Amino acid sequence: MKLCVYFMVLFVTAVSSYSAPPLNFERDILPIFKNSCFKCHSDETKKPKAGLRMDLKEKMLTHEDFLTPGKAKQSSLYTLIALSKGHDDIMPPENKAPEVSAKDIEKVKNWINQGAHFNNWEKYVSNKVIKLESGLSKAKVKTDLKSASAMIDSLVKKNLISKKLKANPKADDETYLRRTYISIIGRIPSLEEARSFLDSNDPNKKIKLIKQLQNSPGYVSNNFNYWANILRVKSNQKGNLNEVWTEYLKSSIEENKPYDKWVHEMVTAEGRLWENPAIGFMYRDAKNRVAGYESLTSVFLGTEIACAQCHDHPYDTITRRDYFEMYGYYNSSNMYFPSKKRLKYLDGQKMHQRGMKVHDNMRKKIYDYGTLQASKEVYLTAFISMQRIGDKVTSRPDSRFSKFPHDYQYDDGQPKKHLEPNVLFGKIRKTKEGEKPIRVFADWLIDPDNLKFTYVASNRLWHRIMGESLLGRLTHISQIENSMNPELSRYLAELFVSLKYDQKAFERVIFNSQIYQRMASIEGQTKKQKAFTGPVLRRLTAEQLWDSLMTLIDPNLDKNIVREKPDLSYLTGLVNAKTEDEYWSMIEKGAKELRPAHTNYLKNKRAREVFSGKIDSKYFKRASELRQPTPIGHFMRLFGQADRETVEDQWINPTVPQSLTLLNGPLFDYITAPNSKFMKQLKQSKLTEDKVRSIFTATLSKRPSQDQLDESISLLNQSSGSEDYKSLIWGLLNTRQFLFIP
Amino acid sequence: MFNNDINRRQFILRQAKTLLGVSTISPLLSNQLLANTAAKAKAQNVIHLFMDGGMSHIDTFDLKLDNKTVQGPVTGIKTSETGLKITDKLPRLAKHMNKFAQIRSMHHTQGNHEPALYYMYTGFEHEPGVIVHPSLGAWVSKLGTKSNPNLPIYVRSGSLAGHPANGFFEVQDAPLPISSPTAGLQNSKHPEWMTKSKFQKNLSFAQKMDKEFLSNYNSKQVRAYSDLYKDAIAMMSSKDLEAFDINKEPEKIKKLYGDETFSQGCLLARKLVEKGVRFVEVDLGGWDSHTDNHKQVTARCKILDEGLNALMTDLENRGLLETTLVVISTEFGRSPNIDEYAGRGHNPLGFTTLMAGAGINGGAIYGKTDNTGREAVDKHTSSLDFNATIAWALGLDMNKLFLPFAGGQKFSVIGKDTGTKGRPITEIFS
Repeated sequence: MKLCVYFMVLFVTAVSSYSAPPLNFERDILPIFKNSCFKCHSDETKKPKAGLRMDLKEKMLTHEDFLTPGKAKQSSLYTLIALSKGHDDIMPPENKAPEVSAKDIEKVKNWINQGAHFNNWEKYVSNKVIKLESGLSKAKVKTDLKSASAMIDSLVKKNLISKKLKANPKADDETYLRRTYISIIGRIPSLEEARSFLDSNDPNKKIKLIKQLQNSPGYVSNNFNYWANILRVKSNQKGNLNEVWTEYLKSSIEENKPYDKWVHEMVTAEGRLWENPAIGFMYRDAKNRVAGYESLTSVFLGTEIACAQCHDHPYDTITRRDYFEMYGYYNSSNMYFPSKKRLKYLDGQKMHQRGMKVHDNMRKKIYDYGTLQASKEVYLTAFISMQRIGDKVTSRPDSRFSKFPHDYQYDDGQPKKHLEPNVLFGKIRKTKEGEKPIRVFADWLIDPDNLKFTYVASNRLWHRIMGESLLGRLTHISQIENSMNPELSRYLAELFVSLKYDQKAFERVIFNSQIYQRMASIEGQTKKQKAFTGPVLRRLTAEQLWDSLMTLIDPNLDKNIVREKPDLSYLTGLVNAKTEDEYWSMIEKGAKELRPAHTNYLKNKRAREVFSGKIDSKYFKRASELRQPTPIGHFMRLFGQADRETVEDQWINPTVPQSLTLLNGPLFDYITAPNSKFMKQLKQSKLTEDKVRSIFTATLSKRPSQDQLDESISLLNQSSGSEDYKSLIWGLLNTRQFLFIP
Repeated sequence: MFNNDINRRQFILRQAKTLLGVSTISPLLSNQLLANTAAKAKAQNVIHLFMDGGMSHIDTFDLKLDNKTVQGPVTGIKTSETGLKITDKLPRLAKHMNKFAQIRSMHHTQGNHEPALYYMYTGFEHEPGVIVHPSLGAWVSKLGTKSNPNLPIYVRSGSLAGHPANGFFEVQDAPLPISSPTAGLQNSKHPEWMTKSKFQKNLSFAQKMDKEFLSNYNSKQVRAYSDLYKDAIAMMSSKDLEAFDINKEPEKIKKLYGDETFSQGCLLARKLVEKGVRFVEVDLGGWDSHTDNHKQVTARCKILDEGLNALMTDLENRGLLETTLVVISTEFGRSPNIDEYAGRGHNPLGFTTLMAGAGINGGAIYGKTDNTGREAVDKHTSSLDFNATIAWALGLDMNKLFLPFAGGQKFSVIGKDTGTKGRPITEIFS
């Protein structure tokens, strides 16, 4: 995880003024205003003194004589704070607010003289607490599908009317079908699936489809891909043992574990990976604790606090102290690395040497083990266990280790001294004797009274289905009053609580709403008009695109998903080995009997690079069943699959290599090989027209219009006598509509 | 001095326009004219090497040999530049140091990787959800002209993850990403089962089938995909595709560069600039030395040493160094103190970048950090200054303004219309 560690910003100190780097308003000046001026000159007070608002750029620039860029001496902003102590007019008035230090006065002067640049700053909006008046109603809202969906629609409509807008026209069945398949199970429907929906006259076919898809294995795949990006899931970490966490995430999704319980479980998990795979969440950042803490805060609390690790958050009201107070809770869950003294034989160098020796010896005596592979297994097992065997997540029973950082620079605390843990928003109950602080923290985190937790999640799920967020950035949500639709945001949160954080049920309500069933709006439009006239047109994610092409190669793709769990029990006994010899005999036994299953598991997922046109059909599987993420050069990486280094680092920029891959890449041959499942299916239709229809339905999930049918047949007729369906398929896969969720 | 240069350039350009008539100057010529009138700088191309993760300036180029506590086990070695020492972990590069200028006073306040990387690539602070600024290469694509109509202007060896790419410019200004330098540009030949004419026929069929969709969803994103399809198809008939293929290089050259992906990226970059690609980025990751700093930096140095030595030797032998600016950049340096994991933290307050070739005054040292390496204490250099230097060396129009959104701010490559502008560091050119 690439986030800031142990870096301290030293604010501009005594450097000669001509070489002083330019002052930055938000970093250098705003904190002074917040500290000494806002009490009387911002929206903190109902009637700002002298009508001056220092939380608004516009007001500062227009207030008479207040600010003359380039000329500090002609700006009352400077002259009034620079008056001598005791002067009647000095700002701030004595005892009203903390006085401005000489250093800060100098800064204000320099900033004005440098031109009083605000850069992009317009106004100050506190983001620390979601204001209490926007709290949730405690009364449960109706959770039956019909009333809940209707409620969403009425709130959307209200917003549209107030903005004099109209919802988009209703989408046709074909659009609905494709959108719903991709949204719920992450791939296009197969020919058969599409036909069965489009041909059905059942008036309830839509809600039936939603339920059927939500309960299919594809739902798990699609949701796993989504959460893998958020939780930064990587296969090649922790000696590949991490895969048990991967499988844990899939089964949590399959069980539809309530969102709050699931988060609680991961945050409080203890033990070793193979005993309790839920520790994967904490274990991931075991060596970069602050990175883990910062992603937890942005993912589950919609608040980015990374800046406050080193200094008071410049654009917000989160202080460095706030940062480390809550870190006190996070850090009470701890990694345990075995002490070298207790497990002498875990000395890295020694283990490595012995491992190599054993490996060499065995190579000489292959017959002992049957194959070379077996000796390799021993070596690998030893190697992995050497590195990982002792790793364990434990929680401390108290918060003794909660401290100010070693370079704490403010007056309200001393470096390395104890710091009583606290949370960023709301109140947390006292940790009782014998209670673990991390549990108290997790209880607070998921408490419905912790509004941000619920707002973040309900907003995220809305964004996921509708393509745009109501509350701005997902990892740093805005105040409810700044929502595109505050009433809707509030309702979605209330609904999620009332549904007891049941993700499937919550999503079902949105899928069942009328607004979901409208034609899509183009990107940017929704944001601009601050209202939903329909879902937002989006490009398929890399995983969805891959899974859709896989569906064309194998319509039964999902039936072939085998969710194996890697068996790591061969590692269990090792921890308790008393001597080196005992340890090694266990390794050999484990390697011979148990490790091969683990190796096979890994082999089954090892999607290779697809350079040089070489591609291994063995790895034509759902993206969720391949290595996380796939190696560089894989089709999905070309289309922006996440690195999983930072939260949701997937990308969707179009590139030349993407187009070249779709035009000329090797996957196409697998779809249209004479004996491919797709071509065999085509042969079942006799009439050319029927074949054309099938191709349209299989690729674009729709029936061709008469024009399109005619064009297609004319294309086929141009081919020297024989019907060239390949051209037709190729053409449709190289349309823009194939790449987008309509 | 800078103002004089600009004035002189503008004057000469105006003269040229009057005397020759703008339309009669080929884009290439007018570009050369610009560059030459800048007198000192003569860059046609840039090879931009990015040390991803934050290269420790203290352990590489800005040594603190008098301060043992800070310096740790690193020792300095003599270089081809008299009086200049760099780490002993870069022995081959030491022989080229008389060609490099160093900026030792890089300075900003972005302590996290993503915003720092963004800041170094674009010159601007990241404002997520508000605006995406273009990377410097995208500015080159926008402001510069193609030297070779058959190749893109901007190529990147590496992925686009976390990269600002074209920012608010059109997607054609984004880098063409090459995932693996050995694999080069994949799938650039049309499938064997289609003749060239059939390929065209099938394409026009695809367009017809898309007509309705494209008129229903006339969005920027959809159009961008159509544009890149066009670019991709044009690329397929390019005469210079072999510039992407490093495998056909003579054994001697391959051996010089070695097997590391970074080195091979350098080789690809050399081939591309030779054929007229104007801006090539190559990444070398793994510099984020939070644990075992010295071990990690040593391992990175080995790769950097091999790749950069090969690149400099090769460029020089081919006479390309005259017109190619080689840039070494990173998101920030590392902190002076060694922590409990034997690592160094992030340090944006003072760090080093380097440039060579294209008129650079080899051996020049611009700015300095304090005796611990913590903070730049003289001639603070921002990313805008840094980018302005490269733009100036290329002779780009640095004052041309662009308006990303109606009613919003205007931007040039050296800054926001109303903000502080970057200043080219002309002092490091001879």
